[in-house]
Amino acid sequence: MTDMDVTGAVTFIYLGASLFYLGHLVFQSERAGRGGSLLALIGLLAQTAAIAWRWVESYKQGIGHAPLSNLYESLVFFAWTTVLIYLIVERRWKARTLGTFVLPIATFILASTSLTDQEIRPLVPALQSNWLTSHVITCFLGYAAFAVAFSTSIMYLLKLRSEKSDSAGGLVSRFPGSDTLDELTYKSIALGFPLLTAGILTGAAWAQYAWGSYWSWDPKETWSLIVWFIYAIYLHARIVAGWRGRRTAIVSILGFIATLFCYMGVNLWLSGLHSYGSG
Amino acid sequence: MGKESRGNGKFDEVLKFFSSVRLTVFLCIALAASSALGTFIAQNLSVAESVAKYGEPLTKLLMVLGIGDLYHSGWFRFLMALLATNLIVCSTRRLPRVWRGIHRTPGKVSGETLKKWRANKSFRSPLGPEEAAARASKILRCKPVEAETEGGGRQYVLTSNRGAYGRLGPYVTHLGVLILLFGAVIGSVAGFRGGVEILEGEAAGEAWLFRGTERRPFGFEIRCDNFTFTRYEDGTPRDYKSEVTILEEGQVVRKGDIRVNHPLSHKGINFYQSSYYPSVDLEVKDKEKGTSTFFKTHINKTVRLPDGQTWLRIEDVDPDMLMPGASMKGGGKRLGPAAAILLINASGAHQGPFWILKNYPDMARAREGNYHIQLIDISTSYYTGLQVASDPGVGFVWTGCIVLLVGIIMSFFIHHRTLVVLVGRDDDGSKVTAAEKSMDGRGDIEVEFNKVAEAIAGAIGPSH
Repeated sequence: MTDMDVTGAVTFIYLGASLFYLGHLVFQSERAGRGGSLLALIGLLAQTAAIAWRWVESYKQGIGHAPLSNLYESLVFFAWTTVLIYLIVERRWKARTLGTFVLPIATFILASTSLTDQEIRPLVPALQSNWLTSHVITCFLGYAAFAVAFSTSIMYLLKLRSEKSDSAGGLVSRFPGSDTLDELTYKSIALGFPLLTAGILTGAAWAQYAWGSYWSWDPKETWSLIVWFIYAIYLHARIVAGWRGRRTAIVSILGFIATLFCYMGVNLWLSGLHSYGSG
Repeated sequence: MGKESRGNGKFDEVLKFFSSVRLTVFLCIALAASSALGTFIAQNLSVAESVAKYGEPLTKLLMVLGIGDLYHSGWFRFLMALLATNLIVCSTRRLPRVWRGIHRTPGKVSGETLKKWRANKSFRSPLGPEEAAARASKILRCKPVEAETEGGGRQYVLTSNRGAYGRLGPYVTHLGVLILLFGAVIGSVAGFRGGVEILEGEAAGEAWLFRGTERRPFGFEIRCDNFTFTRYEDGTPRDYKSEVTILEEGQVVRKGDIRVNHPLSHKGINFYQSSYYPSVDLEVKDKEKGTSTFFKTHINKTVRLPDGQTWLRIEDVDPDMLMPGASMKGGGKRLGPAAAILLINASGAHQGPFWILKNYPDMARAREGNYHIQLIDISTSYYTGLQVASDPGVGFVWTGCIVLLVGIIMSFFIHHRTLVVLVGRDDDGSKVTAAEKSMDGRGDIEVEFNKVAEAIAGAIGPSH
């Protein structure tokens, strides 16, 4: 058995959690909700063990490095950070209906690892740097917070529509109130934005040591800046201009789409210095 | 009213425009969209490359609009300058109000007003007011202030104003961005980036530039004494290392190693290990004149041939070429070392690329045209590929980054809040009311308030 088998199994644990959360939403079952949280937690702990195992295993093979160096490892880490941030939010605000939206994202991320090369590979010279860990960790924690904000924004738009049409009952009525969802979106972005900033700055510092230039307008760098601009727009529009409601929710959704493009689209469809990140 | 005030009015309007958040949002959208455009349209192509990719009419349009080198174009820089102006004007206009807000105190408080605050707690204490206030002041670390109540009695007020400077967070962030932009401007004006390829055993005194066609001399020479690269068992590159010596006026000044992620710096110029190339030895015979010229070159290097009208470039090498058409598995014939040659004439027309083989020097294509090109060998001595850069603005950029990060931490994690404890005389001791209020409209204060209130109640509360 390898760490990849464990991670593969967690895909199904997260799928189970998604179904339990769905049951909690549809049937208003407290027990289903608790089941969802429990499965999500079990999945997170199993992932933690698998990641640690992979890290140790790489040292055993004589090519020791943190498991953050290629597409497979980054997808696995992204799923881990998403569930981690989600469980923290769930514990703080007790909003299990959010799980119906976030856990499927984590499930999908892990499921897509089946398309990638999963072997532990040695680091090419450009990746042999201490900056790797801090840059990747801050970026993905930021992405995870944005994934949660994306979910709360979607829920917010659904809730707004149902509140406006005065329809009583229905699944959407079991969501938290639109004000709460708006507040949760803000708080998630307020967590993700500093993390993304740290991620971009550590990336720039690393680029300076590796390539002699902290900023080369490489597509990956440029798109991370675009994501940063979008969330800066969100924060300024909300805090200073007092935007609320639909407009900020749409900005939050656009921000996550840009985040996904920055993470995956750039590697798949554009070329540049970051192409080895899809290795 | 007169001309003067109207003049001021205009200036005020301009200021107001530059301090608006709507402008910020617009500029962020414009910069984001422009940046995205630059990732979809290939940047820094030569005219020939652009025409080949996009066709002539579109290339003309791209050049006119400055989209071919978007990030360095006038209009992109103008947008950045507008954003910087927006930041400066906005911050200087709003800062005085924020500064006053930091030093604002809750004013006169009474038991009733405190109880209206969202986070509050009241209890009795068996201790006298002076004693209770003294103990509370130890926990809150602020001095009690005596005040008179309506009934003529004495009460003590302890005010703990926390995280006030967090309100400066956005301004620190904006300052960080401005310092960073300043450093970037210095770098783009006074810095350079380029590359140099040095054959083992040889030295170089200048680099070619990424942007522009001049060469940039170093003011010293850098000699590559040895280049090594190692691979892992599965063939992936493991490490590249250049052992170099720096020479000034022929004298050895220092020695050092350059590896990926470990650059070497000398007199403000930094050398980064970027790539390497096997060296290729060619003999080019002029068929008419019968003369031979020998070249030592590498992939992607353009060499000028003796007639001055033709350029040669190696596009690819293969140390042991497989016969074309043979499968990988079925023992196809191996042809030995090969190089793909591209010839470019003065008008830019390309001939090739075509492969020439060391072991078969008389192949037809190698003899076409005015020259007979022979591959003598693909050598085991390497050219080390170094990137060369100098950026005098880097110090400002790092300072800006740190200030920016501090500002962001202040903005998001430090919140301005006030905690007040009121201690008044009661029949059997004191009555105490503690309450906390957020002064900047953000931050979840309840969790923190409960902890402090518990601590105070523990020190002076009913259990004593």
